Amino acid sequence: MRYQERQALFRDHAKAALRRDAPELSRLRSLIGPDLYLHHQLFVFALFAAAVTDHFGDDLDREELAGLMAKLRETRPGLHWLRAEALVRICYGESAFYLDVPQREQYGLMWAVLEQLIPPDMGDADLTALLEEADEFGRQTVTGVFKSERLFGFGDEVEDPESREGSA
Amino acid sequence: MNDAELIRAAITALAFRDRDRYRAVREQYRTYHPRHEAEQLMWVAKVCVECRFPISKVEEEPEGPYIDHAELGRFLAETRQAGPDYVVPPNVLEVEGVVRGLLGEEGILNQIAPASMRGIVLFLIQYLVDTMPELREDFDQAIDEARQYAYHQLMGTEPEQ
Repeated sequence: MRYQERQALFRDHAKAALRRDAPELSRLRSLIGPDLYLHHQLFVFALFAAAVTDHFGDDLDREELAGLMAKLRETRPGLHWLRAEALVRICYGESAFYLDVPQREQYGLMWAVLEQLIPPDMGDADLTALLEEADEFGRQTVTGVFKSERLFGFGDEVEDPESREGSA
Repeated sequence: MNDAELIRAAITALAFRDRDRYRAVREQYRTYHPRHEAEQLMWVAKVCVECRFPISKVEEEPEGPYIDHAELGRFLAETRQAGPDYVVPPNVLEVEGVVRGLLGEEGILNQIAPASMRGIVLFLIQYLVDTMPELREDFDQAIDEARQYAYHQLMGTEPEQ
């Protein structure tokens, strides 16, 4: 699957999840196969970081974070909230915790936090803006690590940069 | 040695990483001693953690105890660096959870995998005994305080601060 299709699929999936549109969510989720897990995990982390930094601002207030975790514990009693808390703190510089939260659990934990932060009736414009922010965060992160912008497509597409720009 | 002396000797040997002594004491254990040891280790760890993170003079907040997150961050950085002398617990987030739990935060100790608990508690005691002279020089006192905590928990009373 090419970059643009992939991105559209991930965005539609995210919108369905954030709108709590269960049938659409399960339909789209079935389209995200194991070959996309790596890309999707990166995408969801970018979305998570965008939503978290939108919510808490430049500095993380620990009392506010404790309040969010209290809400999470109430609505999702079995959830490993300490790991969810760590994922939030990773966005604020405590990246050492990244290795302490099992990869397999990160996806579910991030969605659980996203559900707390994003109201189900968020308007389309706001959702699109959030996804744009996620895109920007992902772009900055990847270019902060790798040299070539081509790595964005993981080298699986040959296309001119113009059309990529056009789809954003 | 009576029960209390036996557990005291075992915990002291564990805290000072005296394996031979611990093995010798352990040989005298009866079936119920391992549980006593595990319980008392938790209370001793609480005393050690409170030595590094003194319960602030600040009033306790309604939602829970006051925790100095900056100091906790420094402690975790030390934990990650703690050299080959220690068995450093692999999951530092769990170390943080245990520290917060021992300082009185509710509902957090159940987030720690039971299999990790003993390793974390031993690490906390050993590292803090090594780095806090007041613990090292009078470890008996730390055990006495731990026994007070255990006693008050059993009786449902409040320990004097």
